[in-house]
Amino acid sequence: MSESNKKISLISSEGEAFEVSEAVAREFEIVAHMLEDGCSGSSIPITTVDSNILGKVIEYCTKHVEVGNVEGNSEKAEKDLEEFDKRFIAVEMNTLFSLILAANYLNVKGLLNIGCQKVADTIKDMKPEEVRSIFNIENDYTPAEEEVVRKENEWAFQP
Amino acid sequence: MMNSMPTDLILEIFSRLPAKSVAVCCCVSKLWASILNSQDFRELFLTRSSSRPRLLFAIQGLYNNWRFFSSPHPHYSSDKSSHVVTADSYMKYLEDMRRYFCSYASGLMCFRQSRWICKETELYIVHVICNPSTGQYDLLPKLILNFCGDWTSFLGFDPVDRQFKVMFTDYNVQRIITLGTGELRWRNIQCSLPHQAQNEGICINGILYYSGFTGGVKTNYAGYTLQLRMWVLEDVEKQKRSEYVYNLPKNEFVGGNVSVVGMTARGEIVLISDYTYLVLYVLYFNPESNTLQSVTIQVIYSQFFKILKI
Repeated sequence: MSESNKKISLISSEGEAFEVSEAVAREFEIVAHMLEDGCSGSSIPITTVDSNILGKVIEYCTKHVEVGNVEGNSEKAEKDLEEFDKRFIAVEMNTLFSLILAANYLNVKGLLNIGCQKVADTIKDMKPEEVRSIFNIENDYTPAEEEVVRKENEWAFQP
Repeated sequence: MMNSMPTDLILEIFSRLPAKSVAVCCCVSKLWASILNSQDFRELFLTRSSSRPRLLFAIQGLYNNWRFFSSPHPHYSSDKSSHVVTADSYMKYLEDMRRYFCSYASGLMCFRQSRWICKETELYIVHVICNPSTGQYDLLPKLILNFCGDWTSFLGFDPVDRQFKVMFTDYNVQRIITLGTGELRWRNIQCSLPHQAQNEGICINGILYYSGFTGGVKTNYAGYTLQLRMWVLEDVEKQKRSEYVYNLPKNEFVGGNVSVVGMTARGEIVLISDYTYLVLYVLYFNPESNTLQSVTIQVIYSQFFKILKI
């Protein structure tokens, strides 16, 4: 069997196996390092990532490997990939955070990048109250303290 | 969920925010404020934002008031040589900033104002440090001189000690002040070589380099061709320098004097036309491919353009 056709099983935290090509598995840098270190096993446990999220990360990597293999017409392919990324990352906040954590653990740089950017874009134009509610953050300022910190950053609240 | 994120990921997310949103996020909770005020975050934010440089320009109006605008470097394709962009972000209107602009460094600007005190034949010189993003500004202790000269003031950021410093020079006088260290005090510097500073200079590893009458990047006109001469100091001790001369391709917008204002991350040298009205022409010269792109920036405000920085 040639290198590119080799299959690897990634096992989620629930024990579910996802069979992927080695090229896709190598998109997970953590897996790539394991393979380079001579880990010859064909199944690799990813104990901190559940099936739902692992499936999504694999979907992301598969798409990126596919597009990377297409020759010619690179501008169109790049645009398609951008569109794919945009759709892929349009998920609710909890899933987004899980994807970022998984991308960080598995070391999938592209996904980590678009995930962090998506959170930043969401926060960008929000008021403190909105940020607290969306991220479920407790306001630990006393009213007096909040007034002080608001005053210090007054410039940021002006249009 | 955000609470379960490791700190490095939280920093990663926050570092992608614009400064204004960072300030808003400081008001979310004490925990967030402590993360955003940490030295780690400040450094990451500075690194991130300096990797995506923007054009910053200030316009001095008829009554000497200043307006600040900024715009990202325009994206352009190689098949067009001229592009029009609109300044997309309007910063702050500083009404009483009737001062002479001196220099810009790492997000802060320095202005200078001088005033004769008639009875005492003394001259007060006041430097103002201003943050165009927040509109906040502070006055530095005044300098008192008894002569009028050809002054230059530099604002520089020393990345080694993470300090902003202002240097004021005349032919015989060099004074320096360090910002943010408790008591603000001008120190005298002894320099064995009397010199007249000519440009803003750059600060590298805590050392300020500036030129007198030669050095740096200079533009010359040879007929209608714009010539750019660049000297690169290869070895300070041996005074070895190499010279590069570029004849800029003809461009309809190169009509008067132009100044070099900086460089982009793509390695282009950025020039602006010095005297313009209503619109601003920014030229991007790529020395490697010898191509010149011009970008027209339209600002709704109909005044003279004075300065532009990167």
